[in-house]
Amino acid sequence: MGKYAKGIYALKDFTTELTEGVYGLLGANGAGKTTLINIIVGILGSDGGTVLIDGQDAGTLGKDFLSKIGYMPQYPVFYRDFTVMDFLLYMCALKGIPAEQGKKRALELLEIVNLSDAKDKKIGALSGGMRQRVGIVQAMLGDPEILILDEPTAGLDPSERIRFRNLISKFARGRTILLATHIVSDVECIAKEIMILKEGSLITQGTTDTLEENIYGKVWEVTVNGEDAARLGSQYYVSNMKQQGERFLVRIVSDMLPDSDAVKVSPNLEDVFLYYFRGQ
Amino acid sequence: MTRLIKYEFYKLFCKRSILVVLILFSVVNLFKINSEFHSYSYLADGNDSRSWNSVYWQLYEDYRGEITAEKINHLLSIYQPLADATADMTASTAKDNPDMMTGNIYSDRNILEKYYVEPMEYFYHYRTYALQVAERAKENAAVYKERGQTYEARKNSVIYHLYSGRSIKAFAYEEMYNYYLNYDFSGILVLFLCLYGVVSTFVCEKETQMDMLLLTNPGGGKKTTFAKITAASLFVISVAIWFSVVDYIGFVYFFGTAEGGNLPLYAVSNFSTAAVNCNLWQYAILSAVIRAVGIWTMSMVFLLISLFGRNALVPFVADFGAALCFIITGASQSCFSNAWLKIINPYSLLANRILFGKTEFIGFAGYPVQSFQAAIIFAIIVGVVSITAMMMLSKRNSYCRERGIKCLDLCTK
Amino acid sequence: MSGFMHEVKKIMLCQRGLFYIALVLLFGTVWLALSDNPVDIAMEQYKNEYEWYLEKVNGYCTEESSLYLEQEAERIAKAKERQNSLLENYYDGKISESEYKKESREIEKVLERQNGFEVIYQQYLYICENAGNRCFLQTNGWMGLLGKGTLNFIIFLGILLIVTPVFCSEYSCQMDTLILTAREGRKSALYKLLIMIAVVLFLSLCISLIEYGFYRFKYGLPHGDYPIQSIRYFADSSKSMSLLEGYVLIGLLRMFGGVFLTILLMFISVLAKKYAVTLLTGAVSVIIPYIGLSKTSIYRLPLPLPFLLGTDFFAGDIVMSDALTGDEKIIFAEVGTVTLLTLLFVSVLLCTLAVVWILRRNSNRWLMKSGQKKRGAAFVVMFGLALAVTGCAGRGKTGSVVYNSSAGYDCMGYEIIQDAGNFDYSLKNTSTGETYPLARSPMFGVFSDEEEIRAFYVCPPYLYYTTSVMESYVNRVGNYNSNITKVSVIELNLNTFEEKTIFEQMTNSGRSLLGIDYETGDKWKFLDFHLAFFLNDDNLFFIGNDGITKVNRHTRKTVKPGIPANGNISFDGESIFYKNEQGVLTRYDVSSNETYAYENIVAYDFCMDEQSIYYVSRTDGGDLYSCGKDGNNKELISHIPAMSVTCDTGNIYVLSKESGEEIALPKSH
Repeated sequence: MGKYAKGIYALKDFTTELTEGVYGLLGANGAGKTTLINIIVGILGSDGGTVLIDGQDAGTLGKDFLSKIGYMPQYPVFYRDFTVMDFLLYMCALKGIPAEQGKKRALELLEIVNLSDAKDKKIGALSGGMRQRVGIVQAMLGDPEILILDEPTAGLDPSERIRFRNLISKFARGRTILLATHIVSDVECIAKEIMILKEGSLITQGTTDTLEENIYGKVWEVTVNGEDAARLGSQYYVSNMKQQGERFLVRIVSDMLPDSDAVKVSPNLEDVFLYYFRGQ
Repeated sequence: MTRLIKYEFYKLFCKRSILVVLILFSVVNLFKINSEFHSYSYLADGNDSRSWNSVYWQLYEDYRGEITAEKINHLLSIYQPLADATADMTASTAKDNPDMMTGNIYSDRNILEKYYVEPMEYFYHYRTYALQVAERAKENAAVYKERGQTYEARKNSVIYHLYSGRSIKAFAYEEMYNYYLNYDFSGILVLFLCLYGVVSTFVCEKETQMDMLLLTNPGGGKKTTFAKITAASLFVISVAIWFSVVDYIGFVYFFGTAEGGNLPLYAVSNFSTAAVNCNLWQYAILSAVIRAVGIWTMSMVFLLISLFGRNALVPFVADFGAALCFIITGASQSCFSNAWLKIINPYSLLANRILFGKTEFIGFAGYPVQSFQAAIIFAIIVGVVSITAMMMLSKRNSYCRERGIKCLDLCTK
Repeated sequence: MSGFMHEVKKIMLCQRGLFYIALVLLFGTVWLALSDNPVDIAMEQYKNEYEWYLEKVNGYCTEESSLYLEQEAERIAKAKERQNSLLENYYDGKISESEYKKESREIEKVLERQNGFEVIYQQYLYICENAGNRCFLQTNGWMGLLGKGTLNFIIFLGILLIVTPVFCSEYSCQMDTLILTAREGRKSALYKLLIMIAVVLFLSLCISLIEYGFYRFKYGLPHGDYPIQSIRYFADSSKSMSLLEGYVLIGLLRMFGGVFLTILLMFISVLAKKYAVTLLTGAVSVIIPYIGLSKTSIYRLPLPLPFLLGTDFFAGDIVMSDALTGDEKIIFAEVGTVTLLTLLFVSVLLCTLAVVWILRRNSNRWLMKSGQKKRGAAFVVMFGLALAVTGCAGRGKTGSVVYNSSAGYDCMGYEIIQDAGNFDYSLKNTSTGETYPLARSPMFGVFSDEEEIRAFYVCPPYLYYTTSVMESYVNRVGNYNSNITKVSVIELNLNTFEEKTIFEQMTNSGRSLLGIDYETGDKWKFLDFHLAFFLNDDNLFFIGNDGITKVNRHTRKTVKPGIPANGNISFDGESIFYKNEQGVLTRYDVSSNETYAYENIVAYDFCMDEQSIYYVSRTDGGDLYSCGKDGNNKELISHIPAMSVTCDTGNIYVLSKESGEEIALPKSH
């Protein structure tokens, strides 16, 4: 798929195949993650290409395609004056789920996300984390085969983020989840595969291990004094810097040996991210 | 502070939609001015050698400038025979009479009567009329003084001074200014554009939740509110002046002349009792300034109303309804003599001929105040009260609220 | 709950749609009740008499009805003539009282409905202009219902309030994307459209029905099957339709106008996604053409405005004559059926395109077969719209003085004099001989001959006078013909010479404000022809050739109490004294609107002061008598046969029948 707008490619020749499990879509801000998601869910039209589900074109599937997907947008606000339950019932109506069945499903999901007590609260009165949980509940209402989450943890505190990550893992069984984020830790543990999107192009895709392997020998660690740490910071891409007494343990992503005392270390997903987004 | 105002101005008003509306309204305004010319001026009949337009400008060179007995006699020597010949309506109706300037005797009489004889007569006699008013005012002042009516005596004294030196010494084309001074349409366009511009000033911050963020900054509370008000004021004043300029240029362009600018304001017949002694071009500038004051006042009221809206819907409809009420009541009351109704309605400042066309007074502490002066003062008071209300009602950081003035000082520093 | 019901709940409750609908209906009804005035006041005032005649000629003007009206006119004229001579004969003693009474009963029978006859005769004259398509009927109801070419601002603002948030609120809380990805998301947009169209149709229908009910209840709406030309508003219309058809068609057009505006607002909201832009565009698309374009142009625009107005689609040409050249100028050109249908077709097409575009914009891309046509449709709608837009008070101090219209003014030592040369009025101090201009404004009457003083009324220390002023802004007929005539009542304090305007009214209907018609109709026409006036704290009374008109100073309500102006009229602050058609002195109580005839006082003329009525008796050969205000204590004052009588503070003046001289008789006499 591709999308060309205002003289640039927001998405260029994007091709991938997804199966059951969680897929992390990593990319810097403006890399094209939301464009890709918007095209997949049908908010935006593409300038070429299509989405195939089990070999069937999404355009041909039409409404059946929409029944197969659950979508949670970036920064959901929803209707402030609706109660949680009213909102979910409204979403059931939009998704074509019969009222009774929808109500039952909504209550189940609210229980799962620990929001049963808040079902009669107005959405305007919910905290950011609670609202995100309502977001995932509405996406799950139709028990979709594909769940698409656009920056679901944006603005959440660490405990809410962990709670959310666990929820995603819980919902991953038997369905495909595409999770777009620029926060590496969100996908590091739960993603089956990671896709890295840069300037609209898919530059690499693989499991966490594969990606880490791909840059093996390009991640270094060295313990230096403060002056050298500053010098290294200006010359190389530093993925981490840790103070150890008077000295600093500096983790560097570089194709070349940055310092004579530097030693190769095993890369992690953050190093991978930094490696591909150097200079951005 | 200047930087903040600059950012607020840029953020709120340098938007594509506002620019588009501004351009669209300017074009619509020019179309309307063009239609005014074609609907009302008899000189809009083309450039044919026998058209009124051509004939008028051919004759114009003979009569323009100082009004002299020779010019009057010359004019009457042409006009009178035509008037006599057509008095009983039995003259030839032929439209190709070679002896006639326009090809038709009635048409010749009409053009002379409308564009030369009547204005010349009015110009010529104006001095006598003004003198009569001045004399009456002087007598009145004496009578009222005798009866202990200080206010009336002062009022008549002002009238005396206003009218005692009035005269129209030169003849010039004044039709364009007549229609220009009676043109109100652009005032409505300005009102709509300003309404659109200012209604989102506060609402926009609420919609983007920037209002909360602003509160946490030293310059985010009152300072930002003040910057927004200043930016909005600059915007509405700029828009009002822009449309006044477009109006003037439009009229000059479509009527094909700016002649008559040096004539006194009272040379336009429905300004015969004008409240000020100035030239037509000076009045054009004064009118632009007054209109800007009027639109500023209305905008400050709109802004105050919009302070209470969560989105633009209710404030816009409320402001729009209020604007319609101002327009309709203002226009319908314009010809009545109750000066107070004109003074309290900011529409009078937008279509300011309502205030400047007549010498009207209201009494204030025993002193006569001309209606236009009172309207300007009232408008400024309403504007300032609205600003004060906005400053008081806009959200403040709770620390600022506790520390009151100290914090305000800090903020402004 | 179905998706549709969820949308209804969201729009009606969460977005306060129901509240706004109720508000529009409430304000619409209240405004209708407050602003309504009968177009033909006489038809309303003499309803019973008018209807008596109407029963006889109802329908098309046939030869029989024409003959009947002409004969009736003649019969009334003769009866009036006969009444006068009968009265003369009776008072001269030529006939006995029984003869007089017998004959006058017959005459009264003829004349009892003459006011109503005046109304029907005026209608007859109108019908005669084109008898083929004009009928006799009670027109006030239909005129109120159909004869208004102005925009209903309440319904317009209501539509803005109700429709704008439908899509804008989705964008403001970013629900649009979520709806787009839902299986039935497209239906949501469709439901919104359907609900809004239904709401606007409901609102328009309710307003139409409320108007119908109001006019039916207040004036009656008879004979809906008569041609629409039967009412003056549609006088020159070439459309062949009945009044009821006209009402239905105008109502349908207004409904369509509302739907058109709704679709336009929804189109803009989907396009711009912002409240302010949607509201501005919606407001501007209606108001700017309304105030900026001529009626002829408005009714040729594929915009909601002409449909929201509706009425003039069925009105005929309006032609005015240019005052200078005499050329005829069409102020409003009738909208032909073909033009109307074309306009309707184009508008429906634009609406359809807009609806299609709205639905496509609210459809998931995977549900759309083709994604390319959308821009075309949007472009066509936008182009069409762009083309359309560019297509290019009293203080409780009066009433203590007795007023006699035929007497001179007692102006606290001043005399009102008129300059024989320039006709200007002045006040002359009778003791010093000094004169002062009556109008205290030094500018009054100097620059214009159209500023004049019309009548006076004195109630010390105040002198009231009426002025008539004509102002002209643009002296050529066209979109706005700004000639206005206003009549003012000015109060002048004779002690201080302080002046104050206590009443002002525009009397002509040739003016429009910024394109918005400011019609005064015929309601205030009487002011242009008033000869004298008097007042009390609550009312102004204007005397014209056709009688007295009472104007409430606070509510401006006008009433014609049926007082003839055929002699002196006196007013003591509470009652008006006058001679009725038979010369009998009659009293009209201005607060209770009751009349009382002094059957024993038949006068040639009369006048009164605070205590007494002085009258020249018709039954006693012109002797002068006095009596109390209640008609009792009759006293002979003079045997000199007189023609008329007036009085001032000290004297009674009689005009001798024989010598033709004025004789002054001291009141103490």
